[in-house]
Amino acid sequence: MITQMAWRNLWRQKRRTTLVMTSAAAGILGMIMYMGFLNGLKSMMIEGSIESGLGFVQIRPDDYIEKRQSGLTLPNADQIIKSLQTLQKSSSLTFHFSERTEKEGMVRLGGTMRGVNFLGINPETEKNVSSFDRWLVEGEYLKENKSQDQNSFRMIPIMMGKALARKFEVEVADFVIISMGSDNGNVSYKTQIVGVYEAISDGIDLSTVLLLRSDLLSILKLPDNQHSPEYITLSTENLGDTEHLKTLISETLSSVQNIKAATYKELQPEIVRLLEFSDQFKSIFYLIIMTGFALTLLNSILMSVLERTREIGILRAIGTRGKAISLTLIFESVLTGMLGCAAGVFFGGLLILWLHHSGLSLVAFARGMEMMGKAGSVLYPWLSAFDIFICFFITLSVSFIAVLYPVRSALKLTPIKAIYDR
Amino acid sequence: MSQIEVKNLSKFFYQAEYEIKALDNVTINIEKAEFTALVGPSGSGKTTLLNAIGALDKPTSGEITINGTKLSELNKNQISDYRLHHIGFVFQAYNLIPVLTAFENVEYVLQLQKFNKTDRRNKVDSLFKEIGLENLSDRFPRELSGGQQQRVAVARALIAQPDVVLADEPTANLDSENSEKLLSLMEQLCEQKGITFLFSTHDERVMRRAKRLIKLQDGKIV
Repeated sequence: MITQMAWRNLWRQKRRTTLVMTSAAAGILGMIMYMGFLNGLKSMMIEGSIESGLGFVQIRPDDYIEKRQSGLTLPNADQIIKSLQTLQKSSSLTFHFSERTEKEGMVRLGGTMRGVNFLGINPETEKNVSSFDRWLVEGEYLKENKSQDQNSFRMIPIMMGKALARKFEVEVADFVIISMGSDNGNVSYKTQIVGVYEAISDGIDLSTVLLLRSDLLSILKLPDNQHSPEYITLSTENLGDTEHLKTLISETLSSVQNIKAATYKELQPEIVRLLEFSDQFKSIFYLIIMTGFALTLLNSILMSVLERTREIGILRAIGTRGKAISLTLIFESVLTGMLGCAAGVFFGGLLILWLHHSGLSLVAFARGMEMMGKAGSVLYPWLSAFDIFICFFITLSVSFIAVLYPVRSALKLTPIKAIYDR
Repeated sequence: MSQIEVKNLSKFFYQAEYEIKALDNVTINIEKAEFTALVGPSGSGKTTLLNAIGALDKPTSGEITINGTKLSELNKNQISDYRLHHIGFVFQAYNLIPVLTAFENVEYVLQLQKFNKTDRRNKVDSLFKEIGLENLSDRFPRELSGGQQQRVAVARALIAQPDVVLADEPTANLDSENSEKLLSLMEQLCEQKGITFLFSTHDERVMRRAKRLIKLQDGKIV
């Protein structure tokens, strides 16, 4: 009967209860939207970085991981690749890998030039670890050079981002000059654009130019013993398996000296910092919203206690213990909060679901988004079951905390005071 | 030993520097199944005495013993339980719980006593039939007349089969017909169930029906 009384008490002041529930719903709606956007932003940043080449895990020389020393090649690359191929067959965790060589340089055409990162890839294996093939919008994806005659003339094929192509006003089949430093000084080559990709952000488009790893090595004229890749990037089906993959790789390659496996978080710690910052900010945001709701609820329940002083006195007079009075008030508070929360989650969830399918264009904030890493320009908010659980849990806690003072006030009332001194 | 023993009971209130003696050294004994009226002018201490016997208020000094239990020796929860199991209250202003129906207002007391649903229903139905409330059980207090509300309040006071029913001016808000009905009901229950009734009143008709009158003036028995 306590729950029945609590429920009916709620609706004695319909307008007030509706207002308090609406404030809870509005707060939760705000929280849900914020969670959804933040989740979307995180995914966009992580996936953007991973899909544009970072991968889930990379195998790098020790010195790169520890000192970020560039230009190193991976020691014992052949042994590593063989071990990875064996592991691929034996492990229950499905993963892919691809070798890479990177070099910073310039793209030039006429008076226009821009610094870029040349990514030397093996096109077939690269398809499994990044999304450049899926992002292709014009021309064709890079193909391995089948010609065995190394002396025959062949224009170096490259793939560039749409934003970069727009900047140079070029398209597929056009030529651009690429320059980079090598052991023999600066070298420049005339290259032909075979494909144009459009990544999730202009930042990737403008900074990454793809070419065959074999072409990059021949441009750099490296001696044979330096033909090893700079690093190997690995990916798996599920982002959640990243740590598992790293552990598996580290164990498998434990006998190989001077190399290390590192996850995308270790390779781009700014992602982790940004995620930590967003989590801290999220806590502050929740605190502000929930403090507002707690005060509204406290005020409402306190008013309700004052209005029902005589009734509380009667209940005490007929033998109701303080515990039962407290429980009635707690139920009222929790019911108000939870119903408001359910409404907020329902409407917030619908909005997030809609935005998840339609996407939210962030073109207006494109500059800012580029500063936040390789994030795209369309945000796809999403929610997890845990996020929804958090909403209910926070509301439940706040509803409980907010009612403590009114409960204390109710318990301080003696029956005689409550009945006669109203 | 009397059922209710009130010994040297005093209750003082303080307003600014003034001391108001609501009860001044009152001693009374009330036997089981007595139908007793407390009479006296307003401010004579009738309600204060009823509240003290019902353990709603603590006396300044003195002792109340009911069925051998000294009220001053009970803690908060024991006092709640004492009221629940031994005392029934009927207030002047009915004081039903507005969000509960007539049936639920009465059933609530049995729920506090941890009766199961079937027993609760049987007991309430039977009492409602006895006091002519069977057709009003689903009505909320706002849907009942003053007389009907007071009968529900009496039912609530009686449902737990208390030893003592304390009624503070139970007929004050009722017309003469409803007052007569209520008094007849109380007399009948007093005789049939052996319940002790102690009620305060100004009403001459009620005084005439009482088996014993205790007259109070300025907090003293006169």
